[in-house]
Amino acid sequence: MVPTEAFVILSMVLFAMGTLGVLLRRNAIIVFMSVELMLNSANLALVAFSRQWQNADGQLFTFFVMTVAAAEVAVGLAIMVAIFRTKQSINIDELHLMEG
Amino acid sequence: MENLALLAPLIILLPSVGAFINFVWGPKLDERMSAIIGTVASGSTFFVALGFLSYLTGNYFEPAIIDPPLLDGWIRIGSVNLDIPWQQRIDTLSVTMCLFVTFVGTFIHLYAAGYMHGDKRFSRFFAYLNMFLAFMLILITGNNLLMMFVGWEGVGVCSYLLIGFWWDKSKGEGIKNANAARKAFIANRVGDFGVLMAIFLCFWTFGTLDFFKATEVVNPSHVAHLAEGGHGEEHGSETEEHGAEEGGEHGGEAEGESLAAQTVALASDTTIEEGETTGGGEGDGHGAATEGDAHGEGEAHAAEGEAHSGPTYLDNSHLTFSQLGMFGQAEKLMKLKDGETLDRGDGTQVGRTFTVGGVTMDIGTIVSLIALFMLLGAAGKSAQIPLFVWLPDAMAGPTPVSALIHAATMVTAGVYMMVRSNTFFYFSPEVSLFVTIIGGVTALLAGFMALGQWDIKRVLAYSTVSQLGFMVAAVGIGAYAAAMFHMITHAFFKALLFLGSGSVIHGMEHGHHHLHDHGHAKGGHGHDDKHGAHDSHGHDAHAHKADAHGHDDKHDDHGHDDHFDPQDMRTMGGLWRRMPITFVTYVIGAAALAGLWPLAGFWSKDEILADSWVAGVFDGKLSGYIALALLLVSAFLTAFYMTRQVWMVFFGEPRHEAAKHVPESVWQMTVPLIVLAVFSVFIGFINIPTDSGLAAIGFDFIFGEHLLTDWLEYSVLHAHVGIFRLEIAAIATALGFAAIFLGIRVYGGNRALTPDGRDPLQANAATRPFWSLANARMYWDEAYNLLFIRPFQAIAKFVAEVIDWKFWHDYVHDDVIGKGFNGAAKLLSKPVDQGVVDGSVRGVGRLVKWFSGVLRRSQTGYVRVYAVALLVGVVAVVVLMLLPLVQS
Amino acid sequence: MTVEILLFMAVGVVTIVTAAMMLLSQNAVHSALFLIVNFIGVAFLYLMLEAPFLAMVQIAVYAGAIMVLFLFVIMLLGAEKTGAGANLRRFPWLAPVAVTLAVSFIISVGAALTQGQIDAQAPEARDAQVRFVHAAPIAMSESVEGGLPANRTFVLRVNDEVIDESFVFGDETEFVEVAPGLVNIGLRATADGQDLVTTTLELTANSVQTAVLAGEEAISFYSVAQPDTAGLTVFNAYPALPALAFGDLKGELFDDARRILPVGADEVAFGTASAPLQYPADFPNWVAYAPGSIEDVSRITDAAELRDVVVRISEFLPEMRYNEDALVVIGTERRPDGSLRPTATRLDAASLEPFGSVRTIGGMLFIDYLLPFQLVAMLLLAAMVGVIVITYRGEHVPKPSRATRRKVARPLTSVIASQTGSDLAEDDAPKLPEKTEPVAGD
Repeated sequence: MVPTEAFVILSMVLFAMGTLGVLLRRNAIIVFMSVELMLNSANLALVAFSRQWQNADGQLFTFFVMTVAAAEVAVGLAIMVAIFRTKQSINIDELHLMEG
Repeated sequence: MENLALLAPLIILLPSVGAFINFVWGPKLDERMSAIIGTVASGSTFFVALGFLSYLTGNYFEPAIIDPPLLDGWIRIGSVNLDIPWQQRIDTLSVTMCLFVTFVGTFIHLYAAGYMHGDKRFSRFFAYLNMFLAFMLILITGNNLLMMFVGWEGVGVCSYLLIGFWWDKSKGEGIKNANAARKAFIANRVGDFGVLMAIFLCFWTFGTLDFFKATEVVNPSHVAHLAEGGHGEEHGSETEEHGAEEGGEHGGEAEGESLAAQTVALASDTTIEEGETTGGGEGDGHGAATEGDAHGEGEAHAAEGEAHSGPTYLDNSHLTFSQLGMFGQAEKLMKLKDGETLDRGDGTQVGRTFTVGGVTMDIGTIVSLIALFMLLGAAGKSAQIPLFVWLPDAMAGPTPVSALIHAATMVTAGVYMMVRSNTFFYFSPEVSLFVTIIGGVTALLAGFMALGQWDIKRVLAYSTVSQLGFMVAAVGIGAYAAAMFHMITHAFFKALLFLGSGSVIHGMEHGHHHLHDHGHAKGGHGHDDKHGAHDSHGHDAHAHKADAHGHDDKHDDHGHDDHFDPQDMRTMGGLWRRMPITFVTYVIGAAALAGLWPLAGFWSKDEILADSWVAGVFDGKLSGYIALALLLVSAFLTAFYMTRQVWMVFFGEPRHEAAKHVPESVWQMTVPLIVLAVFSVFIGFINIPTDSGLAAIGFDFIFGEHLLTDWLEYSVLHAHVGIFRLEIAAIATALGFAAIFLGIRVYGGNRALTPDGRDPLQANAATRPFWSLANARMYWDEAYNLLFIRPFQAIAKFVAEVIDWKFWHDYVHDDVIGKGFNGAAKLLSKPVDQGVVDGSVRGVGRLVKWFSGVLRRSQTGYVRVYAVALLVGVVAVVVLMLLPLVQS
Repeated sequence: MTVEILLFMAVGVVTIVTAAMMLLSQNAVHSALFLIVNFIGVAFLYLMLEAPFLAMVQIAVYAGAIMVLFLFVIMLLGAEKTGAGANLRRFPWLAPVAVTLAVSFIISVGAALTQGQIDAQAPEARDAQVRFVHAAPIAMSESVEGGLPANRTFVLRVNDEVIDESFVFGDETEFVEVAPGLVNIGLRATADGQDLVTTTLELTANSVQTAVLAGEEAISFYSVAQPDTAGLTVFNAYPALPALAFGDLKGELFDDARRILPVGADEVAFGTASAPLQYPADFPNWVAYAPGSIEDVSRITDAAELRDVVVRISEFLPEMRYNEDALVVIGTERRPDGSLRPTATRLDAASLEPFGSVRTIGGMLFIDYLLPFQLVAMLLLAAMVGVIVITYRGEHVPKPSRATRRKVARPLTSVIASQTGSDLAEDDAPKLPEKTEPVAGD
């Protein structure tokens, strides 16, 4: 039986890698994929703890996270398509219209 | 069929639904639908009332109190122990009222379908009629004074709306109608003050407004007697009758001892009381007069009663004082001696004295006051002196309204209230005397004023006032059942007379139209084609429809040629050939009103007269003699003015071209006339007296003697059976025939009007002053104008011009407040407003501007900066959450 | 190091490596493909964590739908190569800060895990599930009601906790969860307070048991474990039958050849249960009976009499669904004369589903979490509408010059350019001869 700790540590590592991707990459789509990676690592932790406490609520929550992620991806990619139409680029460093 | 009483909420709901439909969807419905909805809503209530009748007869006349669950605890204020439930009372009195109100009302609805044909607010009219019926039935079936008052005010509003129904007629007629409506409303407000005071006094004194509680039995001695077998058979001779009456009156004293055996505890929350019998009754509450006096029929009754194992009856002795309704409490309190007290049921004692509004009064005084205030209310609603002036003016409304509201139903509400509260009047003889005087004088003066009227409906209006005076006088002498009897018969024949007069008026208008069209057919008026149908004297439905060109116009003066008034009897004459059905029914109604044997009016009027004779001669009451004298004269006057009217309208030669072209009315109008005429003939038989001779020829087999009185005894505590006095009946009949004879002598042949258009009495120098006084309505309106309206207007003018305008507006508002405010404002504006307020606001603005300039630099617009900030927060939260775990 | 741990380590390494490759690769398409592998690895981890349903959803939704969407957008926008590496020119402090934060996150969580109080070594043991069945007719009252002895009611306690206030003959409780170990079971008559049975049962963790109260004189609880395989398990709770055999009842009533043919299953002693019976598909007429005595039932022509000697168990067979197991108790009922005869009752109470199964998740989703589920559905709908609104460009009104162009001849770059709203590629498009009059069928 693999201890829960191992899953949690793995999920933590994946989460950290996801944050690095979000912070350091310029391609908006890669940034997006990193966000998905972070969500997945959180899901992994949820499922691991769900098994730890023999409580299926964690799995349920994972299910909802997946659904929200799907919605988020759809809208996010649509926004990206819309941005690309006007700026011909999805480099996030070129987007700073909201500068104060 | 005891469940039929549960239909009680329906009797209010059905006309309400009809009114609602006609209100909301009325403009979209055609006349036919509106009339059907209104009439069906009204007719269905009659069948509900029949259901009540079936319930009562099947249930030994035991009253039911229906408490609709939705309105459980209608008004409930715990802090003052105010608990007024929405309860409907189904007892013999209310069912009597329900039956004739719904029956007459239904036929008046049918009549109105013909009469109001073509009116532009046709559906609205039926909505009002239905609404009136709903409120009237609330008034009748309510089990407490407040519900009665709700109905009382509701019918007042409907009356107001319907009197002023033609408020938009042209040429000042509309204003006149609206003023008549307002007059009725305001006169009734004066009466309502009395009702309200009576309600307050009742609540202060008794702590409840319920007439009777659900567990209470109204008239224990009667119920006991019924269970023993038979009733009312004991009135064999005068003396025995009198003895029985005594026994009935003092039945309350016997109740405690003789009926205790039958007491059965009932669940107090049931609304319909029913139970198994506890065996044959022993109640000899009627004293010796009842014993051994039962006929064979009575014994059969008794056997039947036992076989059917009738309901358990109770004598209220198991109830504590506060479990009684206000009448029961009043009965007990009035029998207390000075210093005695009663247990209320919660340990507190109640004696004869009460402190009401800071004044300590004896219960007798309070009861007299309540009766007096109720008399004021009844004077308003039932048009008695001094508040009767509104009723003749109320004839401005459409004729069905006059028949329904101002003759048959609403105006009897005052009498109904007095009969319902007969306990109060019974225990205050001085007030009863006053009631008798009011009623008798009203009957006399109104009959006198009817002599001098030209308007066909106004004559009937004064006649109504006069007949209501009969009823009020009957209440005054204690003949409550006789008052109810006269109310019922009067409802039928007076409705008949009003509807007949409506038919005449309708015919006169048609005749006038006919005339008018002939006169102008060649003149090229715009609506000539429409009226072409009239050339064939068409009174068939089609021609009638072609006539529908805006009813307001029809009721107007036609202005450009003459001021034709279709209600003026001077323009009529000889109508009996043109409208035979109207004529025959009208004469029947008039004869009934005049009290000719054997029509309905004879029996009811004779019972009142005989009761006043008994009250005067046997009981030695002053009120009996007063009533007898005043009412006999009134009866004479009644016959006389009805003769005058019939002759003026139907006999002689036509005195106007219009009268020569009058068509008979449509079937919607004649059918109610016929039905009501039949009832005007026979309705008197429901209460024929003993010894009248009718029993010998088998009439009692049909209805029984004193059917109505016996029936009312189950809910009217002090009702007693009237007797028949041949000499009284003979005198009254003789007076009636004398009046008719005299009337024919004066108005007969073609002498209804002198050639110069005056009344024969006016033409005669000897009678002219009296006739002029009657024609001027005895200057009541002028006196009120002088006494009340002028001073009121002067005060109002003073208040408006001096107090309101000069003092409040010019001085207080303009000078004091306005100028003072201006000065203060000038003082404050420079240093305070511009210095402190503006400065602080601007300072805050500048501060925010500077700070936002600093903050905006943090918003770079780059995603990753925001992401880093977010992540810093996340890590901080995670560390803070996990650090305690690590340390331990 | 068990195989499981080795497997975990292998999958974990794969996920970390693919995540790193996703971050580092210059081509966005490669990144997406690495991420797909990463997701599949996570799905495998879900399987190891007793979440098979989630694993399937992970592969279908994440690795399937979402990543296909990513790939499609990457290719649609032609954005494979945009931006590689950090933008250090503008934010030189960003990389160190980001790494510092990531490391501090790992350190803090790791420290909490290793130094903290959470015992995350193995999942907690699940409670045992047990239900109770009353099949002991002798536990009836002596008082007679209408010719038949009335049922006595009992109070059933497990570890002094009341399970059933009125436990009567024929009752069956729901499954209750009990901490594993030795469990005290008490049965006390409601009327006189007499303790009928006081016994202990050994319950192991994660087990599913049925405790049947049976016996004539020595009444006791007999426990039956829930079988592992599907089939009909028959428990003998009829004291008069020391052994119970199963046979196939052939022939109709009044049939001389009416017989019971043994079906070859083991006989069942009192207080024990049979192995799950696998039955053929042609709906045989299986009965349970006392072996050795009444194989020849041709003499029995009365249905009621037949019921006295055999118990039909085949009537429970058609009700059973595929892959289902059921427990039938051969108990007792009274003949009209008051004596006893065997009867069969199928137990209804359903045991709790195993952790993480599709049925568990589905039940929670559609019963306990119905409202969040609906909210999420609304969210998806809103997202769908939002996507349409964001990317909708209004009605495409072609310019007059373009209307004359033949669309079939346009190169792919031009198509993409028109869809993305840019005219970038227009210059590169081959020029076609322009027509002066409009095409008729256009």
